[in-house]
Amino acid sequence: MRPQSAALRFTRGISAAPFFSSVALVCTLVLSGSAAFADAPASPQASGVAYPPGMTRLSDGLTVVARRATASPAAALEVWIRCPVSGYRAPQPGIGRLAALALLEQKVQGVSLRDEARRVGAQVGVSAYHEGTEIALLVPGYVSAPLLDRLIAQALRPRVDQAAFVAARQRLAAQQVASGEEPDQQLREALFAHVFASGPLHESTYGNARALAGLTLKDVSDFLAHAYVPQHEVVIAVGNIDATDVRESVSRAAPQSAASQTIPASALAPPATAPVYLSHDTGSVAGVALGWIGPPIQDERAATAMDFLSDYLAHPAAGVISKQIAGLDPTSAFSGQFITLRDPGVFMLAVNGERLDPDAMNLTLRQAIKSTLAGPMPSSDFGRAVDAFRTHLLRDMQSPQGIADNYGWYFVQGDSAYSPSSTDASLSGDYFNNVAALTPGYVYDIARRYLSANPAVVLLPKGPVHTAGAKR
Amino acid sequence: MRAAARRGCAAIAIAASALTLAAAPRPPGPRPLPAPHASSAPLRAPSVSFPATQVARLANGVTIVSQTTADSPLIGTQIFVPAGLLQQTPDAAGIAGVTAAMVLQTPVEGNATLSETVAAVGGSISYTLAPVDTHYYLECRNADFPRLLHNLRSALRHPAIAGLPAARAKALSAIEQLTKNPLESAYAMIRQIRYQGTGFAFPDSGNALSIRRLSAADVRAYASSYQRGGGTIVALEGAVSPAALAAARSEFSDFSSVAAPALTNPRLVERTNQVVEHRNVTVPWVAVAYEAPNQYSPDFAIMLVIEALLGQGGDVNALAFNSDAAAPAQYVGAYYQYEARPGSLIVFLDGDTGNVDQAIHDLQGGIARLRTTGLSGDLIAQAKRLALGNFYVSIANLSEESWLLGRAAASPDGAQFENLLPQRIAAVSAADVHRVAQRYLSKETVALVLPQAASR
Repeated sequence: MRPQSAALRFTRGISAAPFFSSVALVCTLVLSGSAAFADAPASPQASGVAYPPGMTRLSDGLTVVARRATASPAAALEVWIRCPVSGYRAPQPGIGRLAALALLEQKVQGVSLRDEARRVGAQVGVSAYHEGTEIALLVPGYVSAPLLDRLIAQALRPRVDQAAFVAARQRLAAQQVASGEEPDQQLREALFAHVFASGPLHESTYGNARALAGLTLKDVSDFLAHAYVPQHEVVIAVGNIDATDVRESVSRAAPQSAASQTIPASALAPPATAPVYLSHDTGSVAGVALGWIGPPIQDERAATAMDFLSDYLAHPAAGVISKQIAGLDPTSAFSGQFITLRDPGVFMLAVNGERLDPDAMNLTLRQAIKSTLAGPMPSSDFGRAVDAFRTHLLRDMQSPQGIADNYGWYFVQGDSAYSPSSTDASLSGDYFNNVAALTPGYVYDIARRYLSANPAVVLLPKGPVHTAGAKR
Repeated sequence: MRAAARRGCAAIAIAASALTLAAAPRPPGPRPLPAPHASSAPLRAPSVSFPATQVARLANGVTIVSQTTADSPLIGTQIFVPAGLLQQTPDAAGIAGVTAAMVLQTPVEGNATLSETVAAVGGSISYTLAPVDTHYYLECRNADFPRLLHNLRSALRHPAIAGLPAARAKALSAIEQLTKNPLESAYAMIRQIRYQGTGFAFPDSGNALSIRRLSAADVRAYASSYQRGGGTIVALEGAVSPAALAAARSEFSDFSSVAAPALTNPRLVERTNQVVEHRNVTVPWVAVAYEAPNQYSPDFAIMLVIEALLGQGGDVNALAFNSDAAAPAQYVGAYYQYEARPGSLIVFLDGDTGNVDQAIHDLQGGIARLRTTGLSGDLIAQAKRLALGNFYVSIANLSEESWLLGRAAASPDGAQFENLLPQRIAAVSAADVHRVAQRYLSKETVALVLPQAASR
C-alpha cells in the first residue's frame, strides 16, 4: 500500500489572492522530440510487462495514464518520477525534494507553474519519497488541458535557473524546520534510518540544513538530467479530462529516450537489538515507532496479505490496534501501515502524544502484534474483515487524486499492473484478485513469517534529551 | 464552496497596495500561455459541469436527488434534516449536536450501534452541524446501502436516550476546549453579535448552561420535530442503483408532511461593533465580519468573487462542528458563511508574522476601495478565475459531491443550481462587485482575542 502521506495535503489559495498583492503564505507541505505510442492499452509491452487499461507506454519509455471519471468537475494531473531522494552517487540528502520544488518555481514567461496553477484555483503539491517524487496538481477540469501542457513541459524537459533554485532552497529550508516539529515525521524518518543501513531508504526525504547549504544549481541540474528521463516517469491524468487529448498532448511533448541510471541499493541494517532514542529540545510530545521488514512488491500475494493485516490492525477508524490505543489515550495519534516497496516492504506502527509513555506504549504495541500471531482468524470474522478492507480501498480511491496517487506509487515501485487503481466497478485487476484469494491460513502464515521477528524501535522521549541516535 | 483544507497553517500579512496587480505585459517567450490563463481572455465556464441529475419529491415533501456514476461500487449519501443551529431555541443551544451524537451511538442491530454497524463493513457515518440543518453522511458499498440506510433511519426516529449523558459530557468538553482556541473564540464572538436572538448565536456545541439543562424529553421532542418532509433532502451520489433509490423512498416516506416553522431572524446589526476578550494565547487573533448574501441569493456568485479577491482561507464547513474531524486550530483568510441566513463574510487575521493593527488597517483600506472604487477588468477576471477554480476543486469526492447536490436541490433553481453557479461566477462584472461591496461590506464587527499578558 502506498504511504498514508501520499495523500497530498495541498497548500491553499490565499497566496493567490489577487486583491492584496503582498499576501505572504508560510505554509509547508507535510509529508509532507515527440514519441509514438508503442502499444495499445492493456497489451503486453516489449518488456513483457502487462499494462492495465488506461495505461500506455510511449516508444521513448514514458508511461501515460489517462482515465476519465465523471463525478467531479476537477482533475488530478500528476507526474511521478522513479528516483532516489538522496541522489545517485555520494549521498546528497534532500536533493530529490529540492529538484521538484525548483521545477515548481521555474518561471516561464515570468510565471512559475505554482503561480500559474493557483491563478485558476488549482492546488499544487510536491511529495518526495525515498525512491520516488510526485508533482501533483488538482485542477478545475475546464483548464486541465493547458495546465497539463504546462506541467509536462516543465517535468519532461526539466530546466532550472538560479532564481528557481534559490526559491526552492528557501522553501525546503522551511519544510525542514516544519518537519522537525512533527513527531510523526520524525518517527517515520528515524525508523527508516534505523531499518536501512545505507541507500535512499536510509536517508531523510527532507535532507538536512547542512546538506542543503552545500547543494548547488549544478547539483540540481545534474540530478534532473539523470532522474527525469522518460523510462522513469509516468504522467497521470484522472478525472474530468479527455483521455484521448491527454495521450496526444503527452505524446507531442515527450522527449527522446535518454540513458537512465538505476536507483542505488538500500542495505538492510543488522537485526535491531536496542531501540534508538530521538532527541528534541523543547518537545512536549513523546512517541514510539516500530518497524518490521515485509515482502517485496514482486510477491504480490504476500504484499496484499500484509496490506490486509495493516488494514485490520491499524485502519484509523476501525483497526483493532487503533481502537485499543484510542481507548487507552484518546488524545494520542496512532498510525500504522504496510508500505509497499520494491524490496523489502516495511510494516510500521507509530504513536505520539503529550501523555504518552513511550516505553509502555512500545510494550503495548508488541503485545498487540503478538496477539495477532496467536492463530488464524475465524472464517466468519475473516470474511467480514476482507469486505471491510475492500471498502476501505475503494473509499481511498474515490477522488481523482486518490486514484492518481495509487497509480503513481505502484509505478515508482515497479509494478504498475498491481496498483489498486487498476480496477473498475466490478473490482477486476491484479490487486483485487489477490484480495479475493486471501485465506485465513495464508494471512496467518504471512503474519508469522514477517511479524514474529523483533521489530526496529524508535523512541521519542518527552522533553529535552540530548542523546540523538544513541542506543541505551 | 467546500474545500479540503480544514487546517490551515498559514500566516497572512496584508498590505494595502491592492490595486497594483493589473497584469503586466508578458515578455515574448518560446511557449505562449494557453488562452484560458491570460487575464484578458473572457472566462467561459462549461455549461454542464456535473453528471445528469434525477429528482423525486415524496408526497410528504422529502426530496430525493441523485447522480449516478459508474466509476466505483461506492455510494455516498448526504441526508439533510431540518435540525440545524438556527432551529434551536437560544435556551436549548447545543441540542442539535447532542441529538446528532446520540443518533450515531444508537443501537440498531442488537447491541451494535449505528457507528459500529457502518464501520463493520468498512463504511463511514458522520454528521455536520450547519445553520439550517444537520447533515448526516453515509458512505458504503451499494450492496450494504439499504440495510445501513434503514439503520440510520431507525436511529433518527428514536435516538437512544441512554446515550444522553455521554453526548452531554462530550458537548461540555467541546465547550471547554473552545475557550482555549482563539480561532473558535473569535468566531463565537462574531456569531454572538451577528446572530443575536437565534440558536446560531451560540457555538455549535451550545453553552454549558443549556447543555446541563437538556433532558431526555427535550431530545425526544427535538428528534420528533425534525422528522418532517419540508427541508429534508436525501442526496445520493455514485453507484446509485434502483434498489438504493427505492430504499431512500421507503425509509423517508413516513416523515410528517407538516411544514417546518419559519426560522427566527436574527436581530439586525445596525452599527459597527468591536468586542475584545483576553485569553491564554501567545499572539492576538482577530476576526472582522460583514453581512453577506446567503447561498441562494442573486448576489451569491458576486460575493464568491469578492471572497476570492480577499483570499479564501477555506470552505464553508471549515469551522462547522463535524463528528469526523477535530476543530481547526488555525484559519487565516476569508471565510464565507453562506449557509446562514443572513450570511457572513469573516476575515481572520493572526499576529503570528506581522502587526495585527496594521493588518486590520490594511483590510479596512481594501474593503473601502472595494466599496468606493471601480476595480480593473483584469483584476475582476483574475478573481473570477480563482473563484471558479476554488469551486470546482472543492468538489472532488463523494461527500463533497453529494453535499453540493443536496444544497443545489434546496435552491430556488433546483438541482441545476450546481451547473448555473459557474456561469454566474463567469458573468460577474466590476459593476456587480462594486454594488455588492457597497451593499454588504459596511457595519463591520471586529472580534479581538488578545493575550492575557497584554492587558496587564
